[in-house]
Amino acid sequence: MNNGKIAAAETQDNSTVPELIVKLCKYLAQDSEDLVSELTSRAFKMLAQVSNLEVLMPSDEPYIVNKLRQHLKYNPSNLEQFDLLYSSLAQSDIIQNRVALLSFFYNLTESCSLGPLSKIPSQESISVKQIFHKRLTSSTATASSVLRASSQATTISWSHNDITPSSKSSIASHSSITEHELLEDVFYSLQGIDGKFLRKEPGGLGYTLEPRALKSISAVQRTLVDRITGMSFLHNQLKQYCTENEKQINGAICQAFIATLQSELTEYYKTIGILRANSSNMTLRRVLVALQEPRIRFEWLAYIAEQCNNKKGGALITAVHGFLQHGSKSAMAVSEQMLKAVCKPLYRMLARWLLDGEINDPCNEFLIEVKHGIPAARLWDSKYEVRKAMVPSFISMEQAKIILAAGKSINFLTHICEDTGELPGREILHKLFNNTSTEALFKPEQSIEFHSTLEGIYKETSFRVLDLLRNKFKLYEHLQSLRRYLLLGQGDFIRHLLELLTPELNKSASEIHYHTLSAILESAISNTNAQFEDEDTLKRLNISFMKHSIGDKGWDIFSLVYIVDGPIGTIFQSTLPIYQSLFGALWKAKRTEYVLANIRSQQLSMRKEFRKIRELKAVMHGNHILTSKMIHFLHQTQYYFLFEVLECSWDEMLHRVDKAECLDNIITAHLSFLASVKKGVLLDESSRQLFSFLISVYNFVITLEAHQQTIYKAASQENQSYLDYRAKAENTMAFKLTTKDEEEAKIRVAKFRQFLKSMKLEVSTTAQAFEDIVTQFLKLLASSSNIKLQLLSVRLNFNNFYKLF
Amino acid sequence: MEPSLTSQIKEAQTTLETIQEISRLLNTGLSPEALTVCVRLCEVGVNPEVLSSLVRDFQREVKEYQRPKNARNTGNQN
Repeated sequence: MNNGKIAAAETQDNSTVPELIVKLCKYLAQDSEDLVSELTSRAFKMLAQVSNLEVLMPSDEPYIVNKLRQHLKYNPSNLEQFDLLYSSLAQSDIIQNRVALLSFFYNLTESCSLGPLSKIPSQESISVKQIFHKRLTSSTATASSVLRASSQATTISWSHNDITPSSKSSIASHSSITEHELLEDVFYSLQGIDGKFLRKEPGGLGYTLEPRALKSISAVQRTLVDRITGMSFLHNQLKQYCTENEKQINGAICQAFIATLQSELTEYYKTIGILRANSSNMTLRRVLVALQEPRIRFEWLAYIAEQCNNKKGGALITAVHGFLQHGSKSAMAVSEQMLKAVCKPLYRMLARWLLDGEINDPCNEFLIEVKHGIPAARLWDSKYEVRKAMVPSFISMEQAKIILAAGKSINFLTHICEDTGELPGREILHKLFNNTSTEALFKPEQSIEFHSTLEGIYKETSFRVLDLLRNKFKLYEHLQSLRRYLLLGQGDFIRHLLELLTPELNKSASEIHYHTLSAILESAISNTNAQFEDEDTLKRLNISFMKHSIGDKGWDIFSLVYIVDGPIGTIFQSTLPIYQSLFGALWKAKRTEYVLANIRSQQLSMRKEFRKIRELKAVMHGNHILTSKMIHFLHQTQYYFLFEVLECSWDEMLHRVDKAECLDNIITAHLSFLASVKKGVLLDESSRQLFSFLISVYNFVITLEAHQQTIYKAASQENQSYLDYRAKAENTMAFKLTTKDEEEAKIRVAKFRQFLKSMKLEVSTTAQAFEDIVTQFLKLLASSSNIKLQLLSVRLNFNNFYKLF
Repeated sequence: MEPSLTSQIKEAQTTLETIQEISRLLNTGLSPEALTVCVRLCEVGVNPEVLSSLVRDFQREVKEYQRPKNARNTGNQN
């Protein structure tokens, strides 16, 4: 055989590729000269169209060998021989590019078996394009070393070692799907793209293998693909969540959530990219293992996202925070990372609120709610509120209230007090926000420090607020003034005012004019100790009328008011109606007391004046007794109101205001003072009946005054007539009186007696009614659960004067 | 000649024989010379797919070229 010679010649021969091609053509044409030239020219034409640079990986070798064996399987002896030959070939290192050679054989046999005629044109058109690759000129040694290196390397190798699906599919037979094809499809599905065999479920998020493909892959492959496409499902789910929620305007915290999800997706795409770049080394199993970690992350992310669906702001943070205590380590890690991201906007808002008292929250996700359109005076009590649904679970309600109060104090200082001074504790707070990160909010050990710092600063700010209110805005003075003038603490002034006002207020309501009354107020001030009062206070003191209806007297509509504005308005503005009603009750009692005093003094003067009218005595006696009873009643109730109720509550309030740590303490102290006074003077809901009895008692006093006035008028007329009669008698000497005069005097006296009789009856009726009412009042008092009222009942019913039982 | 080179040539020779045997088994229809050239082309790094299609193509054409000639020859004999 001349094979040995040829081989020897060939190994030494260093002929180039074109020379080799010429040689090949010569052998193929079997020495017919015209064919050789034609074939050679065509071969070069084909080779000239070199475009694709393809390289087969050594890893493909078993695959090709398998294919070749399949080709030979119908002849067992040939198969055996092939195995033998192949093993000897594999041992030799003469052939360095064994894969290429095997591939050459494979392609040659494969197309031969298909029948040359049917397939050749299309095959040609594909193949022509892909002829030589770039290593045409480079040495085989370097090429193979590169290949070997890349086959051993487990790390990424980007560059030319990639195998495109087209080249693979041309190797593949149509009957079965190679693992690489499958892998390619798996990579597509992992990125949410439909592949050749793996298609998106209609209407779903998962992927299914086409029935055609299902038949041609093994059960193991199918299981692997199923497991990997689970990841594709998670990816699609998260992606869908992102795109759905991106469009909605749900605020910064929701955006942070979506952004974190998206960065997780990007991270995942990177992983996929690396895997794909390395796909020559990849098997389905490797992909599955490589995706294990991202899959666990994605599972938790999808779960968290599901929990957060349709939530925003603090509620979303609460939902994420729930996972922080999860037993699973990976869930904890994922949720912690997520929590860090979603807390960032909250943290910023919190810093802004605590440092500047500002809220920028267009989507209502912050835990403090600001209400627009609230007047400045109501800033403290109704402008800001804790939005309960948005309080994250790591902030307790007390802490939320402190946060609310801290920011509110800043607003109060800057907007209401117009305090331009440096706020206390700002540097500490700045430092706190600079040194801590969002974790300070939810990590237990850090959050304790955070909240304690917060509390300290809140206390300082509150102290500043109180300091301003006490010193600059004279909180105590205002409290005093309200007590003195609206709760009738300034006795001499009230008494004087009452005296001056009585003639005016006796008129009907429509005849009363504001200017008259305000002039009276002025003179009352200037004539009493009130004139030494602070000028600011006196300016605030004013009178007001309530709306009146027909038949109302001046008494019914008159009221004193005290104008409060500015910072102190925050405390007092909302309580002014209570002061008004308290003033009404106390003013009525005062007036009744005054009326009674007048009745008593009139009785005394009448006794002297009408000493001569004997008949009067019996009537006046009844009057006298009734007045005494009334005076007793009034004194006791007044004493109770002024000392037991007002003084005690006042003292308690002062005590609490002194100890107050924040504005809220003062407000509650003041409110509870008013509540207890209101209850004490029987204005509250439960004492309604008692109060109505009290009003009846007052009305009896007014009735009695009217009676006495009538009696006084009649008596003084009678007295005058009597004196006239006597004077006439004396002047005209004895027995000069005509019978006519005597007759007239007799009729007059009889008439007067008649009048007195009827008056006596009236007074005794009034006395009876009064007694009934008082008895009922006392019964009600005695049955009250309030021990103070029971004691009042005992005092009023001294010596068991009224028979209650 | 150095002994190493000789042994190398010998090894190459056996390898080539193996390849020829495989070729025969697979019924490629390539002559030993043509096969050797193909092996060398593969070694140099020519794309085996392209090469195989080229070879197959040419084999077919040569066959077609020779067929009419043969037919003519037989006709002449008849």
